[in-house]
Amino acid sequence: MRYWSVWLFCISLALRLFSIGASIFWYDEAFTAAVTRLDFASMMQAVHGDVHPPLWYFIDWSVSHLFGQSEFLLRVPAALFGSLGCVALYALMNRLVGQREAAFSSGLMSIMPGQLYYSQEARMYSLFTLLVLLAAYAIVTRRWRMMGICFALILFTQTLGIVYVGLMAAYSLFVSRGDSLRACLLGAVAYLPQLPTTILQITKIGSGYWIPEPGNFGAALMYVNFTTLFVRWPPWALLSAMIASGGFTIGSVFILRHDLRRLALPMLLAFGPALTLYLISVMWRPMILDRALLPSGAILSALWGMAGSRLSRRFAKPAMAVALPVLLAGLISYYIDPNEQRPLTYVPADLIRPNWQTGDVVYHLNVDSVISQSYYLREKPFYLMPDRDDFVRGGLTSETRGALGINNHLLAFDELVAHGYRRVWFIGGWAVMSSKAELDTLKFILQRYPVVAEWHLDKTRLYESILYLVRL
Amino acid sequence: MSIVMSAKMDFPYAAQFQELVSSGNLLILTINALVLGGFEALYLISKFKPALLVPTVWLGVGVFYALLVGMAILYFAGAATL
Repeated sequence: MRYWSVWLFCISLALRLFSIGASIFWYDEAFTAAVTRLDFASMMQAVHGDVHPPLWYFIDWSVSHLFGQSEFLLRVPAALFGSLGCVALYALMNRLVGQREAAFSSGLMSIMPGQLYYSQEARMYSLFTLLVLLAAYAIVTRRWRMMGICFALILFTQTLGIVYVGLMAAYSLFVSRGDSLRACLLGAVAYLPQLPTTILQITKIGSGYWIPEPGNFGAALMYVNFTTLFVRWPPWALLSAMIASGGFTIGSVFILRHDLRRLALPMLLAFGPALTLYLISVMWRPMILDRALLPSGAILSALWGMAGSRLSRRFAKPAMAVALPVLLAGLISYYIDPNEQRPLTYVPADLIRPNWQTGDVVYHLNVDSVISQSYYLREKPFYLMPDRDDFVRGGLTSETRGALGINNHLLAFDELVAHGYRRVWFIGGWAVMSSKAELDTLKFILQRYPVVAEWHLDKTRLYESILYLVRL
Repeated sequence: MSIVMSAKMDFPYAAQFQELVSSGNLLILTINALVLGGFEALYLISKFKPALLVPTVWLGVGVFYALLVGMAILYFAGAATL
């Protein structure tokens, strides 16, 4: 146990670095790559119009400008933060319940597919989890200044972090009988410079931002989707995995019911944010973003680990008969095909580059396509179909598009000829986010211009992507 | 798909997502019923027939794997898509 933290960090890091660069950037990561390629002022302008605070972008911006950009390089900070998160969970639980249960909990977090997934993603969620766990550790060790600093950093990392900060601030004020007030204010004051931007983001982007409506499905997904087990499970095993996940959670709460006073903070962090977001969603606006509950997923693994380590032998055997295969299957299925880990599994650039001719151009029917392909087709000339100004798709405001230089590339399809282009590459098909204007333009292009070639890239129940090459 | 957004814009395929979410709601209700029902049954057994508790837990494990295998068969036979 003496060197558990070191072993835990090394094993977690090894699991997180394994195949980290294998899958291609999907939309969110491609956005990180696009933003962090800019100079500092433009990056801040782009982030100002985005839905997330700047801390993560600043970290990946530093990596980009120091070492360059690649799938591996932009994801490495997430792997480091994810591994440190496991150590932070160990420290927290060690303080609360002791070494053995802390070792179980942190070990479980290190292999949880949901945690692995976000520790291999060029986004802020593993950093967010680490900071929440550090803030919780600061509370249980009564290090109020550290808690205040963590609060500020959480708010600069994830906008929905305000839910965690609010709950932890209330808890710390309650247990310290007001002693932590100054530290809470310190966090609030440090966040003040970012507050106007947050308000702007909520008013400007919030109404058009894509988050599912609350419901049983959405509420349950908050826990069981990405936060814990469900990354890359085969569809036929999902039902069983969800039952296992629900069973572990209810069983854990039942086993730990006599220890609720000591475990009040972990219980609050495991269930409070989800419940709060659910209530906000019902009363105001959809807010259920499963990945923003990743810290709750980490705490949930802690509860599972703790409950598992307390089981008597006669119940431990049947529990292990379910838990071990489920956990192993989750872990193995995550690594089976690394390229299938992210939502975007195809690179049109691999088809476009070898067939590229002088006079070719890339045309995008929506700004999502521009962002998704921006990393892999950055040297190719491109244009974007003009859309309504108030159409804030994928959370990209005009300000962000301007900072990324996208606004200089707006052009109607039939004007491409006048610019001297002879062939056009574009991704068609449909998605739940496809607007009528976009689908009408696709129909118009396919009726009017001869298709030289087409490649069916991907098809699911929610979208179909086809790469077209048409002659003007 | 957010209702807010569907109302504002014209998204011909938005209903597809809503459909999936609705079927998901039903799925979650089924899972809730199974999990909560299972725990309720265990609780009642522990109260009135404690000797049957451990065999019932093993029976639950058996049901879990039967469901897993059953779903796999249905999926590969094309009867369930989930």
